[in-house]
Amino acid sequence: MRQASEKFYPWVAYVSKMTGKPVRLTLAKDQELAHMQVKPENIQKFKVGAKKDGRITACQREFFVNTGERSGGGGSGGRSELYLHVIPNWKEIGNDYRTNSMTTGPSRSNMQQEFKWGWEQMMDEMAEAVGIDPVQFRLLNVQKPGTKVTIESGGPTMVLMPEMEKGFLTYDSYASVEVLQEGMKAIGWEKRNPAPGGNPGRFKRGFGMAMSQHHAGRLGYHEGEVGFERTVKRGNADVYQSEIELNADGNIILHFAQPDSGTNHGTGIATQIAEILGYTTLDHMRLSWGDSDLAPPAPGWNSGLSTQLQGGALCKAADKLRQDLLKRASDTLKTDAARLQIRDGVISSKEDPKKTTTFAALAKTAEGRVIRQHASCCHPGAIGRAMNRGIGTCFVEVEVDTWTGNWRFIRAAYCHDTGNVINPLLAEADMNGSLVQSTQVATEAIPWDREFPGTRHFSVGYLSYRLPTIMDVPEQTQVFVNSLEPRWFFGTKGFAETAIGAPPGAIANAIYNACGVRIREHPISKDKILAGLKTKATGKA
Amino acid sequence: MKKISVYRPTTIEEAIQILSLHGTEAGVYAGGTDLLIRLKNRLKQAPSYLVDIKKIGNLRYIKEDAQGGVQIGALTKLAEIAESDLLAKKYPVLVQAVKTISSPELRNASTLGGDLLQEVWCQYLRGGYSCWRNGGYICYGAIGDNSYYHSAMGGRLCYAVYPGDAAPPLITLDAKVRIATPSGMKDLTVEQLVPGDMMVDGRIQSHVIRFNEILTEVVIPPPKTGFRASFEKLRPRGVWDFAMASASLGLQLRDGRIDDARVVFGGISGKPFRERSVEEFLKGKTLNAELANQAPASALSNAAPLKYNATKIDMAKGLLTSGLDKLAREG
Repeated sequence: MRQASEKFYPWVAYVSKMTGKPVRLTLAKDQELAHMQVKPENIQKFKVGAKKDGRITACQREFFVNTGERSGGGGSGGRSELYLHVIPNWKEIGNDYRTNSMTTGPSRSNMQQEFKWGWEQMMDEMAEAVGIDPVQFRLLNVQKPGTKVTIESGGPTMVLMPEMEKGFLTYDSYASVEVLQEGMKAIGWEKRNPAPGGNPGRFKRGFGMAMSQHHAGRLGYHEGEVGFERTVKRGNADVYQSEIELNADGNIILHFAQPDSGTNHGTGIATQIAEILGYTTLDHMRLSWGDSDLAPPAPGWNSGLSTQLQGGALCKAADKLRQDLLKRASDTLKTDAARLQIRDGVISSKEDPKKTTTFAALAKTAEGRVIRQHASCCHPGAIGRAMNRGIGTCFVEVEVDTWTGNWRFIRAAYCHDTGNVINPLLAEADMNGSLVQSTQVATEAIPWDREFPGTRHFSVGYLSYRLPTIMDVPEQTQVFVNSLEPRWFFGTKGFAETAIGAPPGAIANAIYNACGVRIREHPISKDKILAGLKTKATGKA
Repeated sequence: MKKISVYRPTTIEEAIQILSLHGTEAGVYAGGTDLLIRLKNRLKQAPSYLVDIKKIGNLRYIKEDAQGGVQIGALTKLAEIAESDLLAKKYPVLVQAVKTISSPELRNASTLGGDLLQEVWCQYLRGGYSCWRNGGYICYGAIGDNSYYHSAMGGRLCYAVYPGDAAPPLITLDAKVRIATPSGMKDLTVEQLVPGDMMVDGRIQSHVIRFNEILTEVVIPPPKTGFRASFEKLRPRGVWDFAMASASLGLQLRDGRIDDARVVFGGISGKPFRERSVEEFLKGKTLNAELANQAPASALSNAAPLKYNATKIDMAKGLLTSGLDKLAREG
């Protein structure tokens, strides 16, 4: 279970207390869908004006969001697509409304796919209206390094930042141009149909793309930075704490509270800690996560913050441990710490190789036979340290069977501004999953019944909740843009949700490019494509 | 899940005795990929007494008969049909269709008899709504969200579509089934076996098998020279799902002209929908790409789509064109 499971906590705790045993609650799929939150329905209306050269001069967006039985179901957050662009005049009118539908809220990213579904199709239509290639249209209008951001232009989740000067933040480490250009190359954008539906024959191929921007929170502050002290003092920051422990066996135990959500972020974190402590392998790294008895507190995992902020706290703690060990070794070996070197748990003098000690030996002499260090990171609000943001693109190729409405997702190039990637294999696996999840958001209806809302929703298990199967997943190319990020450990950035909002809009735009059918109402389905083709052929809806 | 009892008879006669003893409270248990799900979903209509027929010998085979036809035991796994060289040689259309059923894992468990006789997959029935098939007196599909699991060709009481994929090609092949009854064996055509929602023994079902009868065998007549057949299925995903629409075509050709035709649509009606008007239209005509484009005009004129499923008809027509086009190219 993921989101909205908090309501079950008291019952789980109660049963655990009564039985004296650990309790795990697993709901059947239909019950899980009924009790967990799903993405909300929404309607978006745009009025957009652009100059002939393609620069957007004004935009008004009005949206209506079904927040289910509670307010704040995500309606006011995540509309970062608007703030990805430099638009001199904009207005936003938001309407959240409550209904008897099931619980709504963030699910596989907060309001990304559903809002960018509308926005990215609007951008595609605007590009066509002004006669410019959709990528060039975006290059004209997106924020780039150097763009100045104010509180007013930064969006509803923007808060005062310690780095703010004269009311401005300036984007710097921000690969908005590169993710567009690299995506074009990876997919072969030059093969796109110049005229939508222009290819002859029954099976028509088309290309589409969309952008996504989310969660500047991927870059926060770590202990020791001025921004950290100021943000914590302000009192409303989420603080990620971690503890690192060296024991007498010479093993390093990483204590952190965030459970692994399937992303295997522990491996990425352990790799960094090993590097800081001079290990050439992960053999001495031990992970202890998800147990609040053993780890200091941290917020739940979300928003691409795990490796970045939970991992950052561990990196900082590891740095402290390294200094601590060098000092202890310096005392033991009677050598200046600056003349010592560390490799695979052995500390030795650079000049005299006979002068050595080990991590294990130092731990054995410490109180309790362990050496511990603790550190924290934070981000200053919903969007974090807004000198950069998570940004990505999705470029796709599809094929439409114009006789039956069937369509195939052929290829995808999924591009991310990642900074330095620690473990490319894991990064690719994570992003493959991200693309599959977002594809489902594009192609699957919100799982409640249109005629009997508030009763039971579709309940034929996975036959109604249609996860894409291996037969539906396209050939994928993951493109990682290693943009410069000197402010963080190893130049990393969080990138869990860089491009995650883009696939639905990209697929819709590709289908339009393939066969000329524009699907504005979610989800994309074969029957809508066929109905659209029929309308095009007969002129009748 | 309700409390159940499982019998494991070793002969057909014994199984029929048990079924007769418990009446409509009992059900035949073969692959279990439909029955067990109904039990797990706590459907009122699911049986309490399961008669597991897997211990009965000689119900799982694929063999050629003396006339050159093929007999398939009802307990034959769908995977065995999909992998049969004999069937691939004699009736490739059946193999082609069976390969589109569900997933490889489920085909390892599901049987041919089960595919023919499975319960409908309407989300209201499977969700435990009190509908015609589940002890109630209403069809939620007719008035509910009927985009996928419901008929676009009208209905009587239950509007759920017949979900099986094996029946349409078997009808185009003119296959028959053998049924064991308390008074002996009886034969039906596959078309007679699944006529759509019927009141049988006081309950609504898509087939005519009575509570104390067991489907034992499918018999396909020998293939004729000049026979061409095709099967195409449109489903939401590339695996697992039931048909949004399917088309099974069988053409008997002589010198490029169509002597006889079978056109059966799946996924659009409460039964495998044999479209006789297209069959008549095709007879006597020369098979070519032009004919493929003309044929849909004569198809499904009696369609009666529900609120959300009109496109099923267009999909079925598209599949008809596609199938005829493919068969024309085979020449």
